[in-house]
Amino acid sequence: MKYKLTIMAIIFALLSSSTFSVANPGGNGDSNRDFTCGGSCHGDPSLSADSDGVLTIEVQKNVYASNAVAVHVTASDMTLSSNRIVGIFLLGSLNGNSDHLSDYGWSIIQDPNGGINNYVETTVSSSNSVTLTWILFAPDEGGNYNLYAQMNHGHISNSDNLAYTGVSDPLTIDVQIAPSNLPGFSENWVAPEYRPPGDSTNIILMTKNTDSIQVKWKLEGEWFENTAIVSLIEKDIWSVDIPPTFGDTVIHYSVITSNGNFSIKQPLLTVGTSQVEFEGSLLEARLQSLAFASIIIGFMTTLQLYFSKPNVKSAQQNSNSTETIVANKRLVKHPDHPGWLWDTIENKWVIDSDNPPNEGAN
Amino acid sequence: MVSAATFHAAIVEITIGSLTLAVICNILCLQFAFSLPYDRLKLSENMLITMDRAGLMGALLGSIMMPFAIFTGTLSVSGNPVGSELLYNKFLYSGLAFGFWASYLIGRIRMGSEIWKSKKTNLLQVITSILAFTMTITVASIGGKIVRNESILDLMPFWLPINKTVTLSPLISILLLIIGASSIFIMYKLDYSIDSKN
Repeated sequence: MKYKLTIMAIIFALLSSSTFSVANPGGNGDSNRDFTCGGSCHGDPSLSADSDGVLTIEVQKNVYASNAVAVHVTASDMTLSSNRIVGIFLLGSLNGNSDHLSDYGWSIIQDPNGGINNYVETTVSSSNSVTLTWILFAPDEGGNYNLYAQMNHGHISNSDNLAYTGVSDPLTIDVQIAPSNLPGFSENWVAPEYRPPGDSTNIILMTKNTDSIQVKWKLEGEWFENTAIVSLIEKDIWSVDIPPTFGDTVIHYSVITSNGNFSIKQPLLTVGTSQVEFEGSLLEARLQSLAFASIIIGFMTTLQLYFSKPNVKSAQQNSNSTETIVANKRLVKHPDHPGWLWDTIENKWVIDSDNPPNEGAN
Repeated sequence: MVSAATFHAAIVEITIGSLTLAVICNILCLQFAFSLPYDRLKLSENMLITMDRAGLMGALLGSIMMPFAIFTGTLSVSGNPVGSELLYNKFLYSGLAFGFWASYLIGRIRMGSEIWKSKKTNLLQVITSILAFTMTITVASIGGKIVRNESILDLMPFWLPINKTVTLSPLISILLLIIGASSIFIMYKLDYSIDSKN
């Protein structure tokens, strides 16, 4: 009884140790989303709680319409779950729908992870602070625009399985009307996110009102800047020679767009190295799977034969030797009759095959 | 209309359940050839025979369901290995799991319950079923990784590699397939010739 109770207790403990999960503990991936994903666990008051973290937004002093601007969002001091993932939104409003930056005239040149999303996920280091930078095109029209940041995350001690969320104060940006010939990136240009490993193809840059550009690049984590070779393809389209990269290498590059009147340093951009594409096919997978199965069956059944047959052989050998002993006991030599053996069962003389007599007769 | 993914989930549950039962019963069958130091854990002869039969039936059912699980998995959205090493590994580990379970079944059916009486063949049979089960739960773990991005095997300090794979050219796979099939054929001929001599 005690034995059974112990087993029951172990099973109960194992079942109780599994956690019930809410929201998406591993994250949902970068995407374009409205405030609280438009009604997720993080937005449901019965399933969510306020984050203890702090969110701040910063932008450069002068923001000009239809020109690039870097928006820095810093999240700090939040208590995270064990995987330390936080998802951060950059929004134009907190309505729950139509909150995307594009709904308010902004467009994304590059998000902090290299893509063009308003929601990105990142892992926070032990310093418990992270700053993410979006490179945006300011709206075409001048005026005051609000930007909001929101963060979603889990919590290390989360017995109620709540989804934690935090929202920043609005940052009001005065977008100024730009001088008509201010040089900058073209509204039609999107910064490349990745390049294939070893790809030496030049990056194509599209500008407006620009007579010349200067591009400087550096590897992530390094301070020394290199000047890239730039060539003009046609008006406002430039080819920038940045060296090929491998592995996880990320290159940061800054662009200065100039004309006779202005010289504008654009926000820092990044380009990463994409993973090597896996090229396995369905046919290859099936064939390899069958090959492995047949090799395993061949090997294991051969081992079975190897281990099982010696037993049979030894049993056979034992059986033969027993028969010899029994036969030896049945046939008895007699010194008076060399070449003959006395069969104790049949009670007659038989020829000794090992030592036959000179005259063979019964 | 019920989707292939739903069929896949149901068939996988039957497969994993049967094979889990099989491996537990097979481990207990070690007592056919090895005595336990603790009397309380010793099973009776009748119980061991039951374990042997339950292990055989579990492995049989699991092995019959396994091709269906692979087939429905291929039909469902998660079945195309193009561009994913994780899915490619699901195919490879399925092949390895099937190979080990088939080896266990061949040994048990060919030699009968006598296979448990010899220490060597008993141990080989138990190791085969443990390896088979390891491959099986690795396949299931890959499924969890694909659907939920986590698996119960994440709790383990180390496990078989599932995120990286080795691809062989179809020609080499065909060559291995021929070698495997030939070795099975030669093994049977050898077995037959030894039996006929005896």
